[in-house]
Amino acid sequence: MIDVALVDDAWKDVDAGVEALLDTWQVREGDAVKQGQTLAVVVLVKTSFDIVAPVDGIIEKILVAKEDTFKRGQALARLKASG
Amino acid sequence: MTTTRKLTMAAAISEAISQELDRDPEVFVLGEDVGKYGGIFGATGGLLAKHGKDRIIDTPISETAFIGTAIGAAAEGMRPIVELMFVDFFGVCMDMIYNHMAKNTYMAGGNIQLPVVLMTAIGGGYNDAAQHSQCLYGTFAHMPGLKVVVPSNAYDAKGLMTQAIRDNNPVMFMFHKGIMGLPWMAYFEGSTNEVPEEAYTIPFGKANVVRSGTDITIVTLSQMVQKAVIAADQLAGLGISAEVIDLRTVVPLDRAAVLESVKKTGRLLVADEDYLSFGLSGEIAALIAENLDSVALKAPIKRLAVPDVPIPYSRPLEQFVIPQVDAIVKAVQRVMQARKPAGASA
Amino acid sequence: MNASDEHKLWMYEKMIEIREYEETMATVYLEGKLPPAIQRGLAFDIGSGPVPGEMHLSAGQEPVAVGVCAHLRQEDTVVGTHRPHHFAIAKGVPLKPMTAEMFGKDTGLGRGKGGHMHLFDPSHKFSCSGIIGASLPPACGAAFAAKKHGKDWVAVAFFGDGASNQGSFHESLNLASIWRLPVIFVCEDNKYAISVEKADSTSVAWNADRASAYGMPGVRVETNDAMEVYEAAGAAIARARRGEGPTLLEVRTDRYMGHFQGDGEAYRPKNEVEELRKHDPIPLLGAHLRKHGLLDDAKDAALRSRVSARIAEAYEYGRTSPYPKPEDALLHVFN
Repeated sequence: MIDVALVDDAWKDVDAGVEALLDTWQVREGDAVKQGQTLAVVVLVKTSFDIVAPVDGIIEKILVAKEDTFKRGQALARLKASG
Repeated sequence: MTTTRKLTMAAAISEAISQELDRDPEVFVLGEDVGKYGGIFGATGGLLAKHGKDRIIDTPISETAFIGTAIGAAAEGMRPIVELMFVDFFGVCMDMIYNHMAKNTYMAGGNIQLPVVLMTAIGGGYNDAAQHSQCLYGTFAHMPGLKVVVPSNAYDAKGLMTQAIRDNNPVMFMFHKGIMGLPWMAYFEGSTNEVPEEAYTIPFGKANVVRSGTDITIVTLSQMVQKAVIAADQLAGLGISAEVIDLRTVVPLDRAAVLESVKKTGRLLVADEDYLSFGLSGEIAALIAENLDSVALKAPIKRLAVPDVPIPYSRPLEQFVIPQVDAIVKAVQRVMQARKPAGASA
Repeated sequence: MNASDEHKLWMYEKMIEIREYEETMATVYLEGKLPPAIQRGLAFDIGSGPVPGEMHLSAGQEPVAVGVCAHLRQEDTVVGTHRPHHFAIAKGVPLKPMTAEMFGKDTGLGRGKGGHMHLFDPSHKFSCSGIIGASLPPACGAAFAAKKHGKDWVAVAFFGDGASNQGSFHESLNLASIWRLPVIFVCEDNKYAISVEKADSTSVAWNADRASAYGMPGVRVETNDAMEVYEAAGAAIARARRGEGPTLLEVRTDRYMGHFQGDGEAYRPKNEVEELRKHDPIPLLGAHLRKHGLLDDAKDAALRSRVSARIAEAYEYGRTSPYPKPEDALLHVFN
C-alpha cells in the first residue's frame, strides 16, 4: 500500500502551518491507474500541482475530499500497487 | 436526459466559449493573458490547450488597437470574443466601444452587423481600490447600441455567454470576480451551481425570479443576487417575505418582470453595486414612477448602491460603501416600516 | 558621469532597504490569506489579512529606482506604476505613512483610501497609478509646469515594457518632444507583462529604438546594474535641466517575484528566478564598494541594522495605527 502525497519540495518556501487545497480528483476509489497518470490537481498558495500515480495500481481509498485542505506530508489517497 | 454537474462560474464561461469555438470556425478569443494564463479571472481557462494559439490570442497592452481589431474583424464576418481585463480599464479604449462598436450598426441604417462579445471582469469587495473594483454596467447601459449582460451564477453564465456569442450585435458580458469561484478569492457559493453539459442559451431580457415573496421586491443583479438571497433567508426568519429578481441583463431590461413583481408586493428595494446616482437603480425607480397608474406602492422606493464615492481600499471603508448582506436586511426592514406614500391605496 | 562615493553608498543602502521592504511585505502579505484560516474550498483568499487586495513587489528591480532617483531633488517629480515601492522609497517617500497606507490605516498617505497602487505624496512629488501607461501623461504635466514656472526641475515617468504598447506611451513621447519638456521616460523592462513576454507583444527588440520615432534620444542600459543606470540617467536628467528636452531610457531589469503576490507564474521557466538571482545587483554594488574601500563588514552590518530598524518601525506603525471610521469613506471626493 502506498500513500500518495504532494511532493515535499513543493512546500519548501511555504510558511509552517499553511495548508493546500484539493482542487479536483480525476479518479475514484476502485479505479485502476497507470504510473504517471494524473490523479488529482491541488493548489498550494497559488501554484497548481498535478498529483501523479508513482506506480501502476488501484486507488484503494481517497483520504482528502475535493475542496478540503491538507497539510504538508499528509496522505491524499492510498494506492494498492499491482504487479 | 441531460447530464449536469456543478461548475464554477469561471468554468461555465470557458465551457460556453469552448463549445462555440468547436461549433463555429469564425469564433475566436483575444485579450491580455487569455492564452497561457487562461484569463486573469479564469474565463478562458483551458482554452489555449484545447483550441490553439490561432484561436486564443494573447495581445499586447493595446486595448484601443485590439478592441478596434475585434470590431473590424466582426464587420468582415468573424465572431470575436474580446476580453477587457478589468472593466475599469475602459478609459483607454472607450472611443472604440461607444463611438464605434455601439453606433456603427445604427449609423449604417442596420446594413452592417458587429457580432462582438466584449467580456470583462467587474466588482469589488476584496480591497482592489478605485481603479480595479467598479461595476459600471450603468455606464455601458446608458450608451445606446450595446447589450449588457450580467450573470449571477454558473448556470446563467453559460447560457448567457452562448447567447451572446450567437447574437449578431455587440454584447458587453460582465462577470463579477467575487462569484467566479476562483480558488484565490472568497466567493458566494450560490454562484457555483448545476450546469448542463450540452450547449444551451438563455434569452436576453428575461429576468429570473430567484426567490418568490409577497412583502417586498428586491431587484438586483450579479454578486448582489447572492447577497440578496442570503438576506432574504434572514428576513424570512424575521417574518418578512422578500421576492428577489435577478435582472440577468441590463440591456435589454425586463421591465415587465419588475413591474409585475412590484404590483404584487407594493414595495421595492433596488440593491446595486454600481454607483447610486445617474445609473441603473435610478432607471428602475423611474420605471415604477412612470407606472404609478397601475402599480400601487405601499412605501417609497429605496435604493441601496455605492454612495457616489470611488471605491476605497481600506477594509472598513470598502465594506461601508459596497452594500453588504446586513445592509440589505436593514434597508428592507426600513421599507417595511415606512409610511405609505401620500394618496396611496391601502 | 561617474557616481560620487556618497551616491554609491546611498544607492547601496537604498537597494538594501527596498529589498528588505519587499521581502518583508511578501511575508506579511500572506498573513491571514492561507488555509486553514480562510473560507473552505480556497487555497488563498486575496481579500483577507492585514494587507488585503493585490500586491506587486519590485524585488530585483532596485537599480532602476536608485540609479535614477540618486540624481533627483525633492522638487523633481516621479510618477510610478502599479509596482511602486522601489520608486517611492528611492524618491524619499517616508516609510511609515507609506506602510500605513498599505495596511489601510487612517495614518496612511491616502488615509487608507488609495492602497498600494495609489500612493500619493505631494511633498515628495510622488504619485503612482494602477493603470498601465498612466504615468507618462502626468509626468509631462509636471514637466510642463516646471518649464512654465521657469524652474530647472524635471519629471520622471516610470513604466514597464508592457506599457510601451499602450497609446499613452506614444502620445506622451510625441507631446514631450514637440513641447521640449524636461521629462525622462524610463522603461523598466523586466521581460514580462503578467504572462506575456516582450518578444510576443512588442514589434521592436528594444523600446529605446522607438525614441527616434519621436525625435528624442533613446538610451539602453542592458544590465541590471545600479551604476550603469546612474550614468545613463544622469546624462538624461542633465539634458532635461539644461532645457534640451526629453529622453527615453530603457533598462533591462529582473523581476524576482510574481506579477502579483500569489501569482503561480506557471508561464515562467522553472529555474529562471534562481538564475537571475545569481546576478543580484545588491551584492554586485557591494563588491564594487568593498573593492574601492568604501565598505567593509562592520560598515555593512551597521547599514543593514539601520535599514532593518527603519523597516521594522514602519511595519509596526502600519500594524498599530488606527483604521479610519467607516463613514470617512464619504469624505474627500472633492476638496
